[in-house]
Amino acid sequence: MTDPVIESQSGKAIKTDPHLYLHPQTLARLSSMELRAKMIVEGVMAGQHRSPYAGVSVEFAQHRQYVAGDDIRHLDWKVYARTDKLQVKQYQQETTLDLVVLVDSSGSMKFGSRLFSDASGSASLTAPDGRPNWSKFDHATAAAAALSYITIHQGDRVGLAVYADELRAMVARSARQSSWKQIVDTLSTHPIDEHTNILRVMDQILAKINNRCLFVIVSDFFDEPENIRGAFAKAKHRGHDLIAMQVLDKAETTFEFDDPASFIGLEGESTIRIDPRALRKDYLEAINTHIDLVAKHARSFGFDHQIVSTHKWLGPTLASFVARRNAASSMRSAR
Amino acid sequence: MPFSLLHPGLFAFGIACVSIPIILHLLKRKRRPISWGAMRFLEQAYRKRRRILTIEQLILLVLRCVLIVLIALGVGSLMLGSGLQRSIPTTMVIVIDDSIGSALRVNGLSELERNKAFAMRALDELDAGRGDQVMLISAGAKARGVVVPASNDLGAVRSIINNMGATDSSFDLSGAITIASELSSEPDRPTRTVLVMASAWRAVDRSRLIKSEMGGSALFDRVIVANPATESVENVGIERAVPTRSLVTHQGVSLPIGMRVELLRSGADQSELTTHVRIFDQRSQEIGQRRVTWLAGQRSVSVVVGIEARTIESIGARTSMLRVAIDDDANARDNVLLAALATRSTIRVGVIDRATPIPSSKETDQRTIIASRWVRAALAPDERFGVSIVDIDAMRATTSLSTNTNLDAIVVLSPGELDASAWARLAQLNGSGTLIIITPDAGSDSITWVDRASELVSAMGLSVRTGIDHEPALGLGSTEQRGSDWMLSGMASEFDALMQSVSITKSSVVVGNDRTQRVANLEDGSAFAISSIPRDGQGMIVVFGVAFDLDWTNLPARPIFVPMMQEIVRQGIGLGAWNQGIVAGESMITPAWVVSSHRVSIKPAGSNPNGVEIQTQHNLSNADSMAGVQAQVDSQGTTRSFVVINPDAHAAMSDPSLQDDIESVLGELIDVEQLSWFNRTIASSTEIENGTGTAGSNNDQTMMLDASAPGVSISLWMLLGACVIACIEFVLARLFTTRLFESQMSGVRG
Repeated sequence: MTDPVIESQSGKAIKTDPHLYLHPQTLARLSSMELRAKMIVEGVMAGQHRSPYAGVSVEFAQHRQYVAGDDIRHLDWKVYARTDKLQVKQYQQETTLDLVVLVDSSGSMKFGSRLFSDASGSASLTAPDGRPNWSKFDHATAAAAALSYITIHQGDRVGLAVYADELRAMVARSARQSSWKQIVDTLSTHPIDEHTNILRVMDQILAKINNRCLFVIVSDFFDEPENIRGAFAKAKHRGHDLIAMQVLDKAETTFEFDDPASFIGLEGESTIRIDPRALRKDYLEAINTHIDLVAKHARSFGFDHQIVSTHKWLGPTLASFVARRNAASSMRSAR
Repeated sequence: MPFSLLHPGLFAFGIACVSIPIILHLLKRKRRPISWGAMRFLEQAYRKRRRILTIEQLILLVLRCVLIVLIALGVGSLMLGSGLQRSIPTTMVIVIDDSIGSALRVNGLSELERNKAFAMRALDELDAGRGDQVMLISAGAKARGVVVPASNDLGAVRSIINNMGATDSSFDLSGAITIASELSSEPDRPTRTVLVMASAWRAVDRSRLIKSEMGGSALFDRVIVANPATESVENVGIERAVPTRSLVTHQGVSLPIGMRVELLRSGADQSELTTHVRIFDQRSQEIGQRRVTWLAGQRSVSVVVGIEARTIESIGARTSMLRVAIDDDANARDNVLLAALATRSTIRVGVIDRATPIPSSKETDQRTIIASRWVRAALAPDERFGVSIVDIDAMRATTSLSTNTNLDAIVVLSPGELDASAWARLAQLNGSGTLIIITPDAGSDSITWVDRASELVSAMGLSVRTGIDHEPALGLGSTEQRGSDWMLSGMASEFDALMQSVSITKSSVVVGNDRTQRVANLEDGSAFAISSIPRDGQGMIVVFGVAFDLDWTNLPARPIFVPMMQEIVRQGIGLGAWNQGIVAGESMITPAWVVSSHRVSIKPAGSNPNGVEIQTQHNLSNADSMAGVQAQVDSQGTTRSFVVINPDAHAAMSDPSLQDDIESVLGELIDVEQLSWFNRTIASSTEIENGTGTAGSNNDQTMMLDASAPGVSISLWMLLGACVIACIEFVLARLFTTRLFESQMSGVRG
């Protein structure tokens, strides 16, 4: 694996280490896995994945009532003869998986309470830009790289989008090995001081994608619940599958601060000075409600929702997630 | 109930600890803030609980501050009552009543000694090491600051107090408070000011104690006042002594003279009493005496004591000091009084008239007598009268007056003949004390002289109109001016009888201003003669409306003329001698010609042949408050007049006063709510004399500065309260934070 060189925010060239994104332990756990989509997606690798399109193919899927404009070649005349009703035959189609990973680079993703040296697995105590902490963005990019790596090695196409309030960078879907380097280069960026607007980003991405894909949104989802629900709805409407990987730091979910302190928002919010102990209850209530709401919205559209903690290894998390998805997909296929 | 601290330093330290939470708070503010991603949820929680949090934080802050204050009070040993005052640097203003009333001796001790003991007792409660200071004010009129500004040399102040003596003046309460209030109005005044007023408060008279309006009540943190004396002590004082004549001649006719003496009696015991009044000359020779018997309840009496005047010696041959004394009693300061009396060996009178007088009529021999002859006949019929007459030609008056500078009186009978320079010379002589008598010109009706004499008579506002005939003739009328300063007071008893035979057929209308007085009136109420009022050492001026001519009046030929002229000349000379008599504490009038004032003392016979000693110390700091004699010297170095300063007998009255009355008086000067009353108690006169009976020997051991309440330490209660508050704070702090924290642990997502 070649070492990518990326441009830092200051413009100075920073030598990146792929291990920052693919932890040896993570790769060790993921290399034996086979990522399978829950749903059959349309792709060039037909046969490995089932297409969501109920069109013409070798395997019959179901009948539906004929409507004006349907190709009459697909009429099932036998049914017409028996029932005197015009029914069109529909088939299942196996296709390759198009994975599009959306990585949130908004300001809130800068936060991280875990030490970089502990999380990265490298000997380095700080990030290349000098940070001592392992941010949510670091974790998100590692997850995105891992998913991309697996997908490419399966022969499926992978695309990448980095976004915040709008789409910041995008790597077109490709199954080439060389696209891995392009993805890594694109992930070698920094969060910006902007808030997340997933609804707008989803519009921008859907405008660029025609075929159905599996979207993996790696984000903390600190956005308005209506925006999240709208983004999910748009993806669902266009027939895409979606996995919501909610990256959260342990400090955000436990809020274990004892001394009064000033808290500065990473997305331009005002500074407030509080006694954390006094607000802990209400804070946890608020963030848990939001997490539950994100999960509820995802499930309401049939999408998966997975909480990814920055304080846990990605390998077990991704493995259990893929295993759960494959199990669910198998059960559906069996039905 | 006042509070105090036994250890104010510790308390201050404890209070300073209140700043610790604030400092910690500020230091915590300087900690690096936490960058937080999930800010929207934090803000959401903050908005939800902001009001409750604020209240909770306020409760905790108050509790913590109260906790520290209670600990500070406990450590500082908070006392209920005494102790607070002693802990604060104090500036004490001591007002000692050293007025003539303080010279009253009661049970062997003077009130001043008691006042001083009271002041010493207050002084003993000060501590120079603590920063205490003292300011001392002598309240004998006029009040003056003895130790001003405040000093921390308490020993020196004690010494000054010990050396204080009673004055002869009144109690200048308002003046003393005015001086003291300057301290309270200082912007950088010390934390605590205490006014101590040491007085027996006898015969409190609002009109005498409050003589001037003050801007407002003086402000003091505390006012300690001596309880009024309750003992009834009888005292008789000489209020006034005035000679019935103002001039005594050693040669020639000696007119009878007496001393009008007015006595005051005070004290609750008003039984019958006999007082002997004695009059002494400068050699302490008794020249008159009289026994006065007081009736029960009688509080004042006025008697005339006859004087053997011929033996009276004089100071510089022009003034004699007579000493009036009564029997010694409780207050010796008001038992002696001085009276100044002008003295002359002989009287020199200049008579200005025409050189060849024109007889106005030749009908009879009597009518050929010219005015100057009548005057000579009245004043110096022969040498035995002790009056020498100098005839001055009116036409050569200027020259003659320049050579005759020692004339005691000048009678101008032909004013129309004098030119302006002569009038100017007369004005000059009058300014130095010469009596000027002016009559209309019997030979001329011209009154143009008034204009030329303007320099002399301008102060009188004199207006003279041409003589008018009276048909029928007018007699002399009575005058309202019959007091002791009436020029004819010496013949007052016989004046009404003698004037009956006088008839006036012609007179000029003589009018003066309010600075003149009538000598006698005509029957129609117009002025027979007017005189100026003695002032500033100038000689008197007497202007007659009637010429001494039989065509004008038969006065010169009547028996009244001789005594009238004698009285007018002698009284006029004496009154013009300008010997002021004032009461100690009052301001003496200093004429423009006075260059310097010397305090003179009357020596006993034998020590000084002149009986007078000029003291070398001029301008004594509080000379006006002590009885005595001041000599006023003009630019020529001549002592032209004396000021006799006598004791204030009214201020020496010994009647006890009620506390309510005193409070009423004090209420107009200070805030009476701050008043604390204490007894002036000392053990014995022996201790006072030994200097040990000032503070330690008083029977009342109550501390003046801390007498509001006995000190009770409540520091333990403060510490217990602090413990309770600490417990409450602990519980509430946990309730507000930890309890919620614990209850929400289950809600944490792993």
